Amino acid sequence: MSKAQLSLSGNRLLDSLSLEEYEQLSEHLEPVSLSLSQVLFRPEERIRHAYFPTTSIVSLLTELQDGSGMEVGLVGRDGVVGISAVLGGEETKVATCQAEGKAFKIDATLLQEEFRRGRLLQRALLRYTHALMTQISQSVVCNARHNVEGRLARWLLMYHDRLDTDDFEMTHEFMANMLGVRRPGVSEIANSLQERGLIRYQRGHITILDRAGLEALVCECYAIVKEKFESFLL
Amino acid sequence: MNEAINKHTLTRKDVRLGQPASPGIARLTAGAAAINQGQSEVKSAAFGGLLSNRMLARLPGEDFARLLPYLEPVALTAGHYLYGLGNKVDYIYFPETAVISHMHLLEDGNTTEVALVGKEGMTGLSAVFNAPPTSYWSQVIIGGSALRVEIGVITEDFYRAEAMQGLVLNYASERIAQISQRAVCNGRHTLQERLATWLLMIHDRAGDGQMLLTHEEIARHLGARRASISVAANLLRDGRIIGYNRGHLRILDRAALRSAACECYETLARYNA
Repeated sequence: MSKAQLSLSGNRLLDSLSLEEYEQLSEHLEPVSLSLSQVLFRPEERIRHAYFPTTSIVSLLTELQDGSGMEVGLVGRDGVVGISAVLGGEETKVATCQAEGKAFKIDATLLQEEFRRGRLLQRALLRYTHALMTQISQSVVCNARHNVEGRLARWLLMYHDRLDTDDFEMTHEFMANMLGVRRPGVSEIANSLQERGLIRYQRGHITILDRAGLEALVCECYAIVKEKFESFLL
Repeated sequence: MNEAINKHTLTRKDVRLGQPASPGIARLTAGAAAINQGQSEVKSAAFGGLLSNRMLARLPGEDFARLLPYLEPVALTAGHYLYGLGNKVDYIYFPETAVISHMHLLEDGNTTEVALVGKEGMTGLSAVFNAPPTSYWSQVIIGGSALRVEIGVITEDFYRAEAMQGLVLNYASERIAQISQRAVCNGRHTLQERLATWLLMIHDRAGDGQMLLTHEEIARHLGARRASISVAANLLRDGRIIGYNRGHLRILDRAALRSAACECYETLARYNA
């Protein structure tokens, strides 16, 4: 892959395609802006579009019957939202934009047709599927074993990795879903990171102040998933 | 590792004698000839109800006929490793009565199970998807039968976009659903509920086979302390919901176990049948 191609899309899956394949696919790619809290799809809906984020981040949430839930994965410039369009089967998660920004939108049926043609897109999507499975699997382990501060550090670093800024919005409700705690508990946990000078958290706005400090606090799950995402397209 | 499994591999003689280790295999050979003559509808007649692995049962006749010469029945013993950490995947396993756990090892030496695979699925997705080795290992939790195939046979059909491709992709989607539900379950539900849900998942896959599950073993899978598992399991035992006989766990009252489980079981069970 040439450097010139890197600037073509800003999404790593798309950038792993050959120039020829990318140009053919780009006829179907529509640049869109995703806004904060925009819901892309919900469980049991037929997926109509998939999204390749570039500067945006989309969270994948598994909901429980009482309306609470937990974030099990997140998709940024290293992934695609709506992989079930390719896999078939029904979607079981809520996909919500958590960092506003750009993405490329594609019709789900077209993406599936392009997948079936094989080529580099198929390779990228299959390897991405496995990386996503690793990310969610690590949430299974992390939620059973790790303390809430380490888990908060993990999610913050995962967001930071996919953004070009140290500042981002994060509502109380969303943080509660990341950590699996009730909303009133969120402030206390965020404050414990704030008191150590790692982040600033004010009115739903987070600033990363000390990334190295977060890396020292984070549970082991962060590094395992990061390594998978760095290598899955190599 | 594979030698240990090979010792338990059924011989053709066992198959003819109708050994119980692989209920689906007894009539495979007989049906093969008919299928190879192009009578794909013969598959259901020849194997109706005998192929207990759901993925293999769903494979169209011609696709199944192509796979048949490569299917090897194996008896898997509890505790066997199918793939170690970072090991290359040499065989794909389609469990019948065996149940496989994907186990994650933490830095402190503790373990947590991330997924269960039984007759509804297959092992080795990472290899079919040509992905880097997994961060977990695969181990038999409930001994029983499985059919295994060399990885190359499966990938050939998969990448030629034969019926196997759709089945594997669909199963991957279900696996994502399973781990997503277990992630939220581990974060939100009590150990008592999680234990009940997990026992039902095992029971759905193993049937009334022997469930050799000590509290220590269950703790390794649920990512909990053994003492906490004992408290939760003893409550189920005192309520005569489960029982123990020399290390073998039996489910005595399935309806009560369902009441003790969290909603996650209902969601997870949608993918069993």
